[in-house]
Amino acid sequence: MLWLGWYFPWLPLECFGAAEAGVPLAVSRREQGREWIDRCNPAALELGVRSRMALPAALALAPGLRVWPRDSRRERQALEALGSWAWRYSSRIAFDPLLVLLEVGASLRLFGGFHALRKRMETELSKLGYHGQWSAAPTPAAAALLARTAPGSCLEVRSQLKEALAPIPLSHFTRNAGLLELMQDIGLSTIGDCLHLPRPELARRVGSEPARLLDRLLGQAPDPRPLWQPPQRFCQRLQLMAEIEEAGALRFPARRLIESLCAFLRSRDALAQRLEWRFLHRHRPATVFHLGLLKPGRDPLHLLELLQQRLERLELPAPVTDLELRVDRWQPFQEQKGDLFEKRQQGDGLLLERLRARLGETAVQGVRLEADHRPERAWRYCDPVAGPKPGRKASADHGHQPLWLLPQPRRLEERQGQPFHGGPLRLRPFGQRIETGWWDGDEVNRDYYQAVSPAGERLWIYRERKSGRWFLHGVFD
Amino acid sequence: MAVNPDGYAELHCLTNFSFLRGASHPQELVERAHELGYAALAVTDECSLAGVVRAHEMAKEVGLKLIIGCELRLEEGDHLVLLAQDREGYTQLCRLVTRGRRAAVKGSYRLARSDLDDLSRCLALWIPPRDPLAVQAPDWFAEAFAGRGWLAVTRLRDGLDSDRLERMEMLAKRHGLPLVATGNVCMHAPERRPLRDLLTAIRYRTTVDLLGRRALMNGERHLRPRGELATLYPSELLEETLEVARRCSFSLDELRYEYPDDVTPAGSTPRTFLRRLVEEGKVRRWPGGCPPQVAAQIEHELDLIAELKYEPYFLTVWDLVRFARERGILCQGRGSAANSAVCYCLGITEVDPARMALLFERFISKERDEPPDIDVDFEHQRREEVIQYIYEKYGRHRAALAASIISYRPRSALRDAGKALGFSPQQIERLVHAASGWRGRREVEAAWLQEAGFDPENPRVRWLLRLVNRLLGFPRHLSQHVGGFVIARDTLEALVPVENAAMPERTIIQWDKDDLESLGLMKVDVLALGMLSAIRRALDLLGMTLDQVPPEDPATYEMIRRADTLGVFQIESRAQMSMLPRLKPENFYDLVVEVAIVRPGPIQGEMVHPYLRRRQGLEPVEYPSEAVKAVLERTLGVPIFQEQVIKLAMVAAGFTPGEADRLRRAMAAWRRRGGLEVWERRLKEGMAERGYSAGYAERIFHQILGFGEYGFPESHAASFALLVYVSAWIKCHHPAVFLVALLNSQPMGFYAPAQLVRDARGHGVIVRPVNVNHSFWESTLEPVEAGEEGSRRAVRLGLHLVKGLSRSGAERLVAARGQGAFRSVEELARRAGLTGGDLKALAAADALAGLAEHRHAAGWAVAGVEPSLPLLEAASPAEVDPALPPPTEAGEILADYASLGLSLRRHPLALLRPELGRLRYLPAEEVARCPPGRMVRVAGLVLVRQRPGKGNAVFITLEDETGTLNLIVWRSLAERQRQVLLQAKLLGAWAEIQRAEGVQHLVVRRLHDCSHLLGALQVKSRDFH
Repeated sequence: MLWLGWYFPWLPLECFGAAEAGVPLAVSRREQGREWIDRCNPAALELGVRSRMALPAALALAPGLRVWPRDSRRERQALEALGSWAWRYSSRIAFDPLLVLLEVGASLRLFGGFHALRKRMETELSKLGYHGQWSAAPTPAAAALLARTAPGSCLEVRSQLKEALAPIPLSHFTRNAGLLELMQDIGLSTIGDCLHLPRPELARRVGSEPARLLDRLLGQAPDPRPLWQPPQRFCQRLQLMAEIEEAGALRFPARRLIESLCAFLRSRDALAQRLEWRFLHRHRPATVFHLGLLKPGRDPLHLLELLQQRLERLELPAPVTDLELRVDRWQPFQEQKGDLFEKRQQGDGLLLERLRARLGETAVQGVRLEADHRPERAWRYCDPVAGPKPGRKASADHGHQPLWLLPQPRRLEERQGQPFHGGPLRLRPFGQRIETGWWDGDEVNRDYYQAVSPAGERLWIYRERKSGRWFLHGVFD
Repeated sequence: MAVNPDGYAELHCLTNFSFLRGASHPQELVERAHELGYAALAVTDECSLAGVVRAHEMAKEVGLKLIIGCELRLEEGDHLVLLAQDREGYTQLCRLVTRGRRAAVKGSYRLARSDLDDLSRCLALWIPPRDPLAVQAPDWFAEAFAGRGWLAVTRLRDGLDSDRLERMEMLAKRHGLPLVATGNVCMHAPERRPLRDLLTAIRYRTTVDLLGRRALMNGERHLRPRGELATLYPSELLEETLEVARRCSFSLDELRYEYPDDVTPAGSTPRTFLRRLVEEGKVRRWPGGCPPQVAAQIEHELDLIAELKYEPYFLTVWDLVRFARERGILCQGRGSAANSAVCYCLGITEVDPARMALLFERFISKERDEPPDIDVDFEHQRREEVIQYIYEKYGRHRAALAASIISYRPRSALRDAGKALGFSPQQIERLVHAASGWRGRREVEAAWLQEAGFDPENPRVRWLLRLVNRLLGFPRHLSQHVGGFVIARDTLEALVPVENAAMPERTIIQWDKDDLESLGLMKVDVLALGMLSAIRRALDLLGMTLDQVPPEDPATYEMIRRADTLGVFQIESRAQMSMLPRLKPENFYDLVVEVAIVRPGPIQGEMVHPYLRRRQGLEPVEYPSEAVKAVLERTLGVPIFQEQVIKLAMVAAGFTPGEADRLRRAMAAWRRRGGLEVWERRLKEGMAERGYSAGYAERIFHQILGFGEYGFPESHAASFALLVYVSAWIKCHHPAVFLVALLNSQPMGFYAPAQLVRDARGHGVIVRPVNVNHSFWESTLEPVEAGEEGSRRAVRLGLHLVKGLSRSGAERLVAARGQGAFRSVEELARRAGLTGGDLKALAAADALAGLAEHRHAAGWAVAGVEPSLPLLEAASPAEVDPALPPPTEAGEILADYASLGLSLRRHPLALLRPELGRLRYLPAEEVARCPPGRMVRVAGLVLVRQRPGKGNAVFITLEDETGTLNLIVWRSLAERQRQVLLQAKLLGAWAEIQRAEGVQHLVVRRLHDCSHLLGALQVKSRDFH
């Protein structure tokens, strides 16, 4: 076995797309309640910023430094992406922090030997925009350690390991505090030093864990690692026997794709929430639409019914040659527990689902209240499926405000200093003063009144306190 | 009383002492209410009277009627305002606030309807909820406050005013309660609305964007003009406010504070008892008879004390000092009254009035209605005993600490405001950094933010700047004063509310020291001073008492003149040390001057150089008049003490004592608030009238400005000078004792144990390493063996220096050693019952020498000690010896520093000297031999970096194996080489030697970071293969 380790020391920066030179950049991490510089780019280095420097100190040196906190989610994604890239060279892939390990012993011949493979990977990496350093060794732990501390090492046989690893400081290999402290207290520091210590005596002092780790490193004990599987997504294309011109006729072939999807989902014990359909045409771009489910599901009949409703009002720009169904993400299946209440909700939900499938997603909207004194910001559209947040109700907070608001307040005419709307308006006594929003540049300063027009309409109008101008903002029913 | 047709009294008003709710200072509100012609203003902070004294001062100044009250939210949800009608009502209010605050954690309170039983002399307003539909009939209120209760009607133009009024009118009828208009005020002017929103966001730990309906709907909660109120409220409701105000007649001026006289024994009066104690002290102090001049002084002081009835105060302080003395706790008084002849007789101070003439100018003056002020410093490690004594003797209901009001400073304001405006944590770090260092505290400037990379044109940044500067000085919370105790004759809570401090079992009153001063209440400052701990230890070791230290010892002054003063109280700092060879102190009064002159006040007032020149005879000593001569003669015509400035204003410009005292307070505040112009005119006119030249008047005024808040009173300087003298005497004659005393009193002073030990060894003291078979918890004296050269006694470092060693473990170790020395690590662990952590700490400190071959072997051995099991006390299994290599010298030194903070081996730079020599860096002792003007290369560990005063230079102290070097880096170079300056642990410099009057500085031309050499040392220590 030969493990090739690729270590990406700059990944925490690179995953921000932060390779751009010239501007000082850094990522920070939080420790003991303070922010520390974790890594920085060459421009920052030039200004004296160093890893492990306290953030304020770094900012003192480089006031223009851009800093992000380390983002483990981004890093994981970037590393997984690198895993998928490595997948083509080996099916045995494992991760270590900032490190991709692949077993290449089996594929060496295929790629023309170790160095040919390694060079090829190097070239590809630089195209991908990552800086990696490599080492190869017969055990994954040794490959990882060497990639970090002695890049460019290639040890093909186990017997070379001990010698190559001996000078490496133990602190690069393990974070076992007990062991590291002991080593410091007795004035030793390297892996070699540690290997020289009498085993039973060492175990009495720091337990058996360090010895086990060293055995794995040297290949004297198995080092089982969870192997990584690339994520799979469902994507199937079906070539039609004959081109189909009428949307309704797509139902039958589509059924096969849905069945296939549901089988795929069942095999992974998963549910889908969003289906992407692509109808391909001969000389035109594909017709693409999405079907969303209120709740994740994998019932073929239900999925088919949703498609059917969409097909009914779909106009095809051209005959369809191929059908494609994609599901990029799915969710783990959870046993549904139903009760009476939920059933009723499901009923509402099904109606909504049908409405949206029929009219399009944007045509059906929910409304919810927002906490803001400004009337135009006190509500907004929302996803009807997600529904309004429970518990927030209109309350006395809103005073006497109408339900109907104009999309935009409309300037009112003034005659003899009085607001005019199809005739002079009769103002009721002073109502409400709203002055707020200084923080977002949308400040309002208004005095609201109820007013009655000559036609008997009850209007909600306001006077801008700064300009003294009148506006119509709403109508009472 | 004729009712003013549009009169109005605001009865519900929060100040910024309702923390993060009120958006205006009490003074601003009072001033504004007065401008608007309000008949009265009630300050009603939420369950707090912390802001009332400030409001009271301003109300007196402008002539507005102030009503004292508070706002409450009860457990049941009721919202009330209570107002004190008279002195009794005020006491009831204080008790209630105390009860609510003491029942909850710091910063909150807890009160229920059932707590409101004792408010017979308070009026109450019932505040309805905003939603008219939620207004419930307040049956209990009508019952509890019959004849003294009102329903408050507040119109804030929120769209529901009319509905609410209607509902309240109905309730008023049903319950027979009158209605009254209130404004629910939280700011003095509508422009404070953004600040109030910002405070709300800080309070809810959110951002302004996410405030939602917690933001103000509009700016109506300010003090509104009466004309506007008239359009909003029915006139009966406005008139009713005057009726409520009329029924509240209490003023804080009515508070008469009486000092406790618990100390006076039965059968005596405070007066006779004080006289008896003074007479006894006189005999003790002057066994051969009191000098007539001092006797007269004592009589004068006693008369004055009697006239002002201050006997109980002096007796109380005497009692604390007596307690401390009985317990063997060293203490010393200072402050305006402390250095009186009376206090000398009472033992409150050891500063002998006969030893120093003319010190008591600013004793107590009857013209100034100011309470006497005595601060007492106690040993820092034992002050707690004194505090516990106070609580025990007087009880918690009578004694509490004064509050210290923690206010927003630039950094905290930027942090909180930045968060509330949605700046990211990184941006906030950057903002805070922009305000740190040597920058001013009064205002955040746009330029700082621009420097930190913020666009000042960005709207958010503009708001930040605007709001932060409003926020500066806003109180944030109450903390405890360092040691100012207020003690009441009866109960404290009849005077001021008491609340919990952050420290468990501590209580504080709601007023700070300025408030106390303003109301004429007395406090005793019980402070902690590290040097007193050290001096007491040294005196114990020497078997002496403080008054047995021989006065005016020439050898001691000789040492001080050499600036050989490391570890000596006050004069050990670099600035003080560089002054000593120039000032050349020869007697006690010179020390008093030395202590006072190296302070920001005299330095900024540019008094230092004139004083030095006159002392050296380079400049004639002149006085513009006899009167000025009398004030300034003892300091050669240059004002150095605060007392002199005050006195000068009186004799040269004709200030009355009262005016002079106000000038002193204005001086303390002018940087914060300005407002010294009036005094400038008054001073200059007064001096011109008395025939002083305009130039002289200008210079005096400039000096007053320099003093500002940093003025150092002569009375303090004298007390400090005594400790300077005593600690210097001990260092001079008993350096080993001095070292032990300082080591055992850490942390204190300017220098770390490493420097203290190095200095003592330089003076011939033998210092021995920590060892489990010899060391005690504290460092100790040991006899010197035959053949050892140096001091009479050697110092054994104590186990207290070992990092990570528990005190209990060390004590078990010392106890177990009583049965015989330890022979092995195993035996040590077993007999002393030490934990693994303690053993490791001892091994790391190399304290196991003798039990293990070397430090590494010790480390291996202690790791192998298993937790002792009583049944298996037999020896551990036989082990294979790993034959560990011994540490190198470099390794030992670094390990010593890591564990003990010091090493008795060579200085790390001694090891690097060959390398440094190749790079042509000179050691400090060789630099001292070079002529001034020579350019040299030096390198050393950075001990101190300072950027004093205006930041024109950075002062760096370097240490190498031969001594220390003082570097000056001018600002331009400091900016250019900022990185090196901030980062280097081992700093190299190319510098010019400057030497004058025995003081050497190196003016740096270029800096080098040599820290990598230290790194090499680290590697060396590991590199044993």
